[in-house]
Amino acid sequence: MKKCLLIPLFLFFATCCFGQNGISAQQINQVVTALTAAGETKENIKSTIDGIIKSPDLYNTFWKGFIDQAYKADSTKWKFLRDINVQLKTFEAQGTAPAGLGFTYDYNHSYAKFVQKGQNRISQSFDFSANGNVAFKKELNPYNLLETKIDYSYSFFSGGVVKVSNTSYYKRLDLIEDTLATIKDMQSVRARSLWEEFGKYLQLSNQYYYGVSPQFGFESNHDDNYFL
Amino acid sequence: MHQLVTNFDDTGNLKISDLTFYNSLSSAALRQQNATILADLADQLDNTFITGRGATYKAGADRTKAMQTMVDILTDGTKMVSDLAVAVDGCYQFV
Repeated sequence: MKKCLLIPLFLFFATCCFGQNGISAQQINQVVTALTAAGETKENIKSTIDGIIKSPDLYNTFWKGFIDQAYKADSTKWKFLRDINVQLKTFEAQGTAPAGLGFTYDYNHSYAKFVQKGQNRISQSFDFSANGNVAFKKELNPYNLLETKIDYSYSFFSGGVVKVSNTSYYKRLDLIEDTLATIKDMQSVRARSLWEEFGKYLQLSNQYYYGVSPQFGFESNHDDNYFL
Repeated sequence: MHQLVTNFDDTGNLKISDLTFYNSLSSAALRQQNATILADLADQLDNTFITGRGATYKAGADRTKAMQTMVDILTDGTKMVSDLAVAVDGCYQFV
């Protein structure tokens, strides 16, 4: 499906998410205009509109096609889409009221950085996640939870391994390692002797580290009209 | 690092969940949040390779990529120790 066709359709769906009274005539006209500009026939346009109003699976097909196009473009500006999962769904109503449309979303983004300065190392990581269910008509699903979380981690490490100045130690360690790989019994006299020699060439020191990991979270139900 | 006691042939078939540090009772989310411990293990490995074994980073790899690669595997209990070895081989050039 053409990417130019998917974008206006996706924007249409996203706009519908904020509508409290279903799909409006203006929104349908916008879609018809976009489809006509894309060269679709009248029959295809009518079939598409009918399908949009009735079937969440059709939305999901459009969304998947949109995501696939974004992946093919392999552009930096589309990279954020790889962290988003959105699926349209129907919400069952109590009594005789008709079911309504909505969507469930799940977004996760992680970033980490590891820096070494001399014998000191610093690790930082940042994780953002948001998930929830949103009904286009809140009366259909008033107790769904929208959850947002931010996790940050900072760690500082110092020491651990003694740096040697004799580079011949590295080759000797490789030879010991290759020999140990051939030994089946790690408790044998030969294996123990090799491990002892290994320890002479790879000297360890005390390692110190400290870290902080604050976490922030926010939960909201649909009644607060909170959207992410 | 006191994570395993097997010989070379058997070690590759161990799962990450078989290692001493891995807590199989915690949820995946808790393990992911346990960044300090995982980063500590990855830091020990990186420090041992670079400082103790004289290894260098291969072209296209740096400390961030190497550490993140190891953390991603150490987080996944279904991965094998051999997977960690392959990842390390992809990031480090030993003497």
